[in-house]
Amino acid sequence: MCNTEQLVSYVYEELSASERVEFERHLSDCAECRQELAELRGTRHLLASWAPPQPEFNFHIVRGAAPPAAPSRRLAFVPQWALSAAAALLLAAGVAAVANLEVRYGTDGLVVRTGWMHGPAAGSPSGAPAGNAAQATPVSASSDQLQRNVELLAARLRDLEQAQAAQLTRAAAPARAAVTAPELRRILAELESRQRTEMALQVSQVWKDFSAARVNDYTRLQDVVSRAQGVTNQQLRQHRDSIESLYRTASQR
Amino acid sequence: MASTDEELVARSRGGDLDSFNQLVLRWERPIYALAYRVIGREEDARDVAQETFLRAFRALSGFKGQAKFSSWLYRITLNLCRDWIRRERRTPIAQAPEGVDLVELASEAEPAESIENLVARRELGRAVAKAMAMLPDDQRTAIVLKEYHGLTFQEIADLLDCPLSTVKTRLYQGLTVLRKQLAQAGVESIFGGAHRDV
Repeated sequence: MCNTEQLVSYVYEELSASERVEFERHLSDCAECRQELAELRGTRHLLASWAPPQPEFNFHIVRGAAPPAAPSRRLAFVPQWALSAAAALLLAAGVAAVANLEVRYGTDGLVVRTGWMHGPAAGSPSGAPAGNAAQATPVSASSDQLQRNVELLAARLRDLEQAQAAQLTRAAAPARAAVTAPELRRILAELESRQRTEMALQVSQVWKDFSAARVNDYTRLQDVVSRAQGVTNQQLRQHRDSIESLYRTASQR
Repeated sequence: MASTDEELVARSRGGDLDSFNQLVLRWERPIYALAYRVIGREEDARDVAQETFLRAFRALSGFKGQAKFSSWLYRITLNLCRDWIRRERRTPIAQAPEGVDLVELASEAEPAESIENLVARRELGRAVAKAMAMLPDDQRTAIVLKEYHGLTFQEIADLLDCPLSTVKTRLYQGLTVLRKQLAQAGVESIFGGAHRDV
């Protein structure tokens, strides 16, 4: 090749008039340059067949730059699956071994406690004070309590769903901020991550409470059994003493 | 009569959002096409296009009109594309539809163009996209700016911050590599060598 820069300039018609005349004179004498010119033009012809997709655009700049406000309540953005999982966990715990259930929802979020011998929780429908842990609750009463608490929990979940729906409705309102798709994805990813973290913390808290209640109940159960066993042993001793006394009396006669 | 870019930029700098959105409407497809051809991914190219306009909007006060507005947009786009390639640490992958939708093709067909020719053109476009994706970034960018956006050598040199001769060399080398790649892919047979005519 003689002069590739001139050749490229000629292909793209960026030579001045005088340069062009001069180069065409060269072309008439140089078969190699003519061949190269033909190849370049052929390649350019092929390039014309590559068309990008034609997506629909709806991007535009709007006034204002306020980012979406963070949810004020911890469970405001908990997804449906997480609420369902929490409900399933609670029901499973109740069915497994729990005869008493405490459901509390406050500023610190949803708190669920389970146990054999807990009294009714503060804020429960009965309005009773926090239960005396040492007082055993009849099984029938515990089942009623469990039923009430499950209903309370279901009502709470419905409230949360409604709150979430309201939040989504507000989010669907015309945006005030100029947000691009990457920013939106980042915000959504952050929200999702935060939700997961909070949900994990809450599930972890439920599990810790459940475990602690089980240990507590087991300890108390052991106490009751031991006490019962102590009573039984005492009675056995009394029976044995009585029998021995009767035996001795009979022998003396 | 439509306003020029310069007029719209001046009004945008004065706080007229509608003017800036007219600029967006005017340039979104070329900017998207540039990003798509450089990075080769449809969704990412769309993101790059949107980010380009957002950055342009935010930096509008710093744009003094020393270059054409379109050149300024191209520069932002190319910087974003370079960031994308660096971040993703991968070469562009030209996306092409797996199947050929004849209904869609028919709607695009020129009156005189048969479906067979259109399918051949689609296949050809796919081959070109693959060959382009294999080029080094600088050669591909130079070809895209020249072939598809019609920039002059000098404008490309300004955008890429390189000498004029480097632009020409990149173009020549890129076109030469493309020709070989396409020949290996058997593209020449589609045209039957007709494009070899001067």
